[in-house]
Amino acid sequence: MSRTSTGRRTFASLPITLPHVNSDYEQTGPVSLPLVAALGWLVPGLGYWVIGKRSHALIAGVSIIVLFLLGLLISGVRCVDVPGYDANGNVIHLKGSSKPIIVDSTFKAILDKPWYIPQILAGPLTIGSSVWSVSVSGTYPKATARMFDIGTLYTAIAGMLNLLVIIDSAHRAAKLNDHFPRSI
Amino acid sequence: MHLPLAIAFASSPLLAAAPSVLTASWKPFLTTMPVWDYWPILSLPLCLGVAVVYKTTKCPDAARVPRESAILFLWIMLGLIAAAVVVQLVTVLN
Repeated sequence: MSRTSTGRRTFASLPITLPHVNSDYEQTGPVSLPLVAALGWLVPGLGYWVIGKRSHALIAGVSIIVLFLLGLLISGVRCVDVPGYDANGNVIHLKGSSKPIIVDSTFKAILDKPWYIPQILAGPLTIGSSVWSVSVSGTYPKATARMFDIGTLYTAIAGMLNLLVIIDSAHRAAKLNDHFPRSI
Repeated sequence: MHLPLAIAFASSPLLAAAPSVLTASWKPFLTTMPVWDYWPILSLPLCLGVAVVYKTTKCPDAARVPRESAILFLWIMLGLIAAAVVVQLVTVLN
């Protein structure tokens, strides 16, 4: 650890090296805000990456993915409770309707499984986990213990943190675009 | 622990069988992890993750993230401990 001229201690002399730690925006061209947001949802941290904040992208992305996977590891993949499916993995239908509830009454189906809303913010990780959760639901029933809640919390918080990262990367992209006269 | 007692404990068939029982019953990513007795420890990685991601969004320079997130992590843990003490006091007083 070293000290700056103002006496503040910095990590400059530590053997930890983060790529591009002192550069601001690697990419200097304008970027599309919806693209930044969509990429940030597809892969956590990718929104930062496309605006050139590669260190931020790596730190945030890895942290979010690790949190999500830790949630699955602690509780099992069944902590991703998919709307429209019951505890045994069967498609739920409304009374007197032949269509699945997720088609017939999407809003109600999602409100019945509210934890899925923050979980889906983690992107395709949740979609993959949902498919896996439904496919093993016959063999591995949903646990009702405290450990199950903890895993749900981990995955939901990972999703909400990804939303925070998406908003921040889009905000930074907007600030970056302000430097360019041409709007996209 | 007294040394002969510790050796006896470590070599007991019950303890030797424990890891195999755990690994036999726990299927990673499919069943819940057998850490019921240590669940408060699971708040540590969660709070660390929250601190790191939050500080990543706040710090303009990524080099400052480790230090800032470590400080935030300590504050979160202190807050959790304080909340636990208050809840415990309320419970005891009632």
